[in-house]
Amino acid sequence: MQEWIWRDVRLEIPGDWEMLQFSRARDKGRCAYADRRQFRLELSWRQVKGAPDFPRMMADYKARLESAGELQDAHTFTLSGWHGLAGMQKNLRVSRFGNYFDKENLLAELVFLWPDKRDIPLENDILQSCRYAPPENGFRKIKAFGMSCRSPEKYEFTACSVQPAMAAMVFSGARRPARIRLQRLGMVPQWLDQPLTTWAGTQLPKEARNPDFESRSRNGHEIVTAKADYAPRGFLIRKGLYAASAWICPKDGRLYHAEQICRSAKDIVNHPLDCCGGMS
Amino acid sequence: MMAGFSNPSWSDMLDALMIRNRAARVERDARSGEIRIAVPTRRPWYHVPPVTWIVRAPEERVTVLDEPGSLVWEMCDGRTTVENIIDAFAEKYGLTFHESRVAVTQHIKSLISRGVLAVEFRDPPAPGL
Repeated sequence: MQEWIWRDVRLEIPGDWEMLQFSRARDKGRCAYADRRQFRLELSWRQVKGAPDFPRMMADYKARLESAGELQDAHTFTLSGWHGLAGMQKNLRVSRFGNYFDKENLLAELVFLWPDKRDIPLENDILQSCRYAPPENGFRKIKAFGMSCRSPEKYEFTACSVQPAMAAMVFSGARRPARIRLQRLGMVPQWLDQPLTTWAGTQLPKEARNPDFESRSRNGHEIVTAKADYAPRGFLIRKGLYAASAWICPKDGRLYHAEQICRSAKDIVNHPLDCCGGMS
Repeated sequence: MMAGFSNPSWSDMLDALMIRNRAARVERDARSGEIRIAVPTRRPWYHVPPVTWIVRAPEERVTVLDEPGSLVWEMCDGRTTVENIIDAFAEKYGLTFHESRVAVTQHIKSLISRGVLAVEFRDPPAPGL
């Protein structure tokens, strides 16, 4: 099982399931996981004003799907504290679960698609692992696409791009130029044809001045760090600091790159990105 | 909307076999690991005199594959399924299954569009999929 934390919801899923669809919005969104053959699990969340009446909601939902002919052999039940509805939908066995996380007024729904029959122990494990993961000590955590990311609670999750051998996330503060950009890059021997320090130098934004590079070792990871003044040209444009670290994780062979632009040294986040646990 | 094989699901694609264009001429560069594939082109209908006096149409379309592309090409032998190609690619380059699936199927699609490969579905997907 592998742990995922996305938009403050944590869950554990089988190791061969991958997130193929996602949304970044905190108030309402969904993400979907697939095994190698088909989608298997959908997580959706929505912020609501108060706790819903689950028995009534599930009964209404069941009645609506049955009357539309979309759900056969349906029954409602409770599993691991989640309110469930299972049945056959378009020749596929489907089980839906709802739960309410009262600390954040978050309504969560998990939908499992079963190609054969329902795997109730697996369903139970996933439901038990799924819970609200609030920010800790002012930092919000995201664990996805092989990255463990830590961003200040007040930062917005402004961009996420996932392609083969490349995942990148951007978090932005309310006051410019505060920004954190985290990347995980694969197939490193195929494209990295220079020392890591040189590569880190090519990643500096054009506004970075007086860069200073250092190399150090941490838990078997050779890390290159870069620090520079962030000084965009222009009148009345806020200046700041640039800090970055890059390393190749010896366990998965991927290149991790964390860049931060912040207003002052006290705003620099320690270890915003982790790979195999070696950075924490 | 055209029904048929225009948009098979990814699961259908995993079971498919890739068949090489038999008319293709293949050259290997042992030093760089690159493969050059030259596919004869069909003369377009308008390519008759006097157009041919001015414009020369190439007789071949050449596709050059880098090392990862060559690995995929080597496994497109008409017997290995796309799923096995994806697994081999994922293992060689340390990717997850779906990272490898997207990379391999995009590469295969570009080779199909260039006339280098053809796809054979084991069980053709039902029209309208």
